[in-house]
Amino acid sequence: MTRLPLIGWIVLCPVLLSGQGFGKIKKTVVLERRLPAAVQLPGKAFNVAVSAEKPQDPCEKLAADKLQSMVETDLIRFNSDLELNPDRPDTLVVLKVLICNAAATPHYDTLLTGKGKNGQQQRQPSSVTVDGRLQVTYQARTRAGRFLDAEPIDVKYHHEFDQVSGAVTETRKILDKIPHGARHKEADAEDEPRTIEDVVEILVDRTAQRVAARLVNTNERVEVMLARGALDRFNRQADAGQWTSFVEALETMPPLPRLDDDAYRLYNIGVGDEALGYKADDPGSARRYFEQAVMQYRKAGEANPAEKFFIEPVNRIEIALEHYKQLSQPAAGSAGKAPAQKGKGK
Amino acid sequence: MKLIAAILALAAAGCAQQRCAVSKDLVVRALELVSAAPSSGDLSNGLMLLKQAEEACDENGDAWYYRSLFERKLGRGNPQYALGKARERNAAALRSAEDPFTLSTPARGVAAVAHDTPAPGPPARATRDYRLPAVSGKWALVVGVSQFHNPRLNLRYTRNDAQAIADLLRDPASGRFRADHVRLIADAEATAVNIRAGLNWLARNATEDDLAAIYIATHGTAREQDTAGANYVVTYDTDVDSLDGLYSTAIPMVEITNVVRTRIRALKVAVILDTCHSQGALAQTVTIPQSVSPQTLDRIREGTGRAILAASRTEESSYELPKYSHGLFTYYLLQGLRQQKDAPLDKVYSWVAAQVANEAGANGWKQHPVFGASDEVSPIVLGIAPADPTGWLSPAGHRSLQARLGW
Repeated sequence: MTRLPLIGWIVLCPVLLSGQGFGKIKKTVVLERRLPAAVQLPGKAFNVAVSAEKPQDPCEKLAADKLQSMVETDLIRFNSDLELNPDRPDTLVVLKVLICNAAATPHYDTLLTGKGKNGQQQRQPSSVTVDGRLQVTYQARTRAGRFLDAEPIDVKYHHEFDQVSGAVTETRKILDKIPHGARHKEADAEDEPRTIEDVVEILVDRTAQRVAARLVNTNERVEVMLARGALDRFNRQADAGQWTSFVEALETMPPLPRLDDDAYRLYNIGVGDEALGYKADDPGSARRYFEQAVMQYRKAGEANPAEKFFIEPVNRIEIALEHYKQLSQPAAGSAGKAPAQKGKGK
Repeated sequence: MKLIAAILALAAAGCAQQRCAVSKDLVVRALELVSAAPSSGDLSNGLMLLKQAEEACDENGDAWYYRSLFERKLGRGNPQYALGKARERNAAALRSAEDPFTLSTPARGVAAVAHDTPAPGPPARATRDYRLPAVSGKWALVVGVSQFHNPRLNLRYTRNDAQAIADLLRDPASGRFRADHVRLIADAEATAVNIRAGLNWLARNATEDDLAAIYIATHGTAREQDTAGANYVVTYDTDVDSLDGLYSTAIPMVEITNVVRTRIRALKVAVILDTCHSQGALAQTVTIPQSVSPQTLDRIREGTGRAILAASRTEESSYELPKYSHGLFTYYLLQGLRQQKDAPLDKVYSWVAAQVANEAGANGWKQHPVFGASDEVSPIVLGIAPADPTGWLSPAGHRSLQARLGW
């Protein structure tokens, strides 16, 4: 009997890890994502003012309320010298929620049937797609009204929860809060604020991070997936933070015979380049690493368009790239200088 | 053990700037293992240090560049890959095509043999017999720093020393260098950038038939307490408040030795280092005053016609005497060069060493200048008249004489 788990593992292991990909057992590594502030604040005191375009919309109202406190908290968390002073702020951060929505869509691709209370067969969703979007305008200005910075922020959430994935617990947590009919217009309006709360919180958290990253140096731990299969042997270098050796090993190994498999090698090189970018000494070097990483992620996406996990890193890194582009330009990042073609600030 | 210490230092270094400063020092450590005929053990250790340097700071292009050279020398690894990375990072060492493994003159042993058997002689471009003291032209870089950006480092007489050496070299009665062939860099001008530019100027101008001289009077510092000998030369703008600052802003001694070994083509080169001054509030900085190490002496001596004269032994200090307004060593060096202008440097050294040791002893100090030369067959006479009969004149004097003679 004691051998059964072992035998099971031997049988299942190749199934779980075979070929290139992220596998059912995900391999992740944590990157210390350092983003330098894009602007220099004129003083320590700040205030945050948040409004919603449609204050009667529950989602927008909820987002606006949460955004206020989250931005305040993030700014102080990343720079403890800052202080909230609504009466005499050196910097005023103005945010306006333009779009807020969140919804869950159940899928019935595979029919799972069971007996209902009245003896009739019931359909149960095999997976649920949760989508959310929060669009916000952000502007920072001095007490005297001088422009400091502005940026439109558009954060999206998309996740597919399926019953066989490791995310089943999270799925249930969200499904508990999002009844299957919540997204439909005819759904009970009373349910809406309660059901979307978690998704909105995720969106608000990401938005607050984006705002904070413009104004203060931020440091965030990002969990990033590493591709597995034949590439597994190099992943321990990533675990040890030896990113130079990791990238070198992947760049000097022969490309994998199948293009869609080799995409995962390119993806892992992108992760290595991204990690080196966060470690880099100066903005110019960081920018170069991020550009290389974006290139690798895109090449991976072209080589294997079916892999959805190649998309997210590009979005993540493009934000970093934007910060470093400004910093590596002379005179960029200084207070009072409006970035070219940026922002919708009033 | 030192390698482990370096790796531990690396682990301790938190932020990117620190990592890159440590990375620079790791490259310096690797280069300190280089010789014209390195052992495979030294090459392997050097390669390991360079890989650590890359891991610490991937954007350190010099680490990649030197790694490609080490791998090529070892015949293993992937030098092309490393070279590609160096190119991507626009490595400074690659741009200037540094090659610490290739001497600019024949190796010491070859030169010594050449005394009896002329076969493997000096480079074809040399027209003079390097075994004779005669030279075509003479060039000198003289550096002296008394006033530092960080006033805690200030010294009393090093600028005076450098000025007096430059004056003596330009003196038609003593040094007989052309005035515009002596470049003096002192105090606020003695930044790392300017000193490097001065070394490049010397390497660019001194030909095989010339004599080149380098005189440096400033602080020298070891990288850590248990290191014997100066690894870094402190410049006017060196940040000595942290090791990271030191690694990033001082000039590594190995860089100077490599210029002498691999870039200066002149078959007669004299290097005079007065780098172990114990004055100044050094305790408040990371500097550990040291004179040149035996390894530095050996490295500079590689090749043909190289001589090095240091103010004191590794563990000794270099003293300054108010009554002379000079450092003890430079004071007697000036006397020696003035009195024995046609004597080879080793003879001048013998006299200077005796005088310095006596006077230091009379004051209760220990200071013994040291001397090393690549061979005994190529005498270096600093005061020798260059072949160009007007070589020692100032540019104005040169023009005036040319006009009078109708040249």
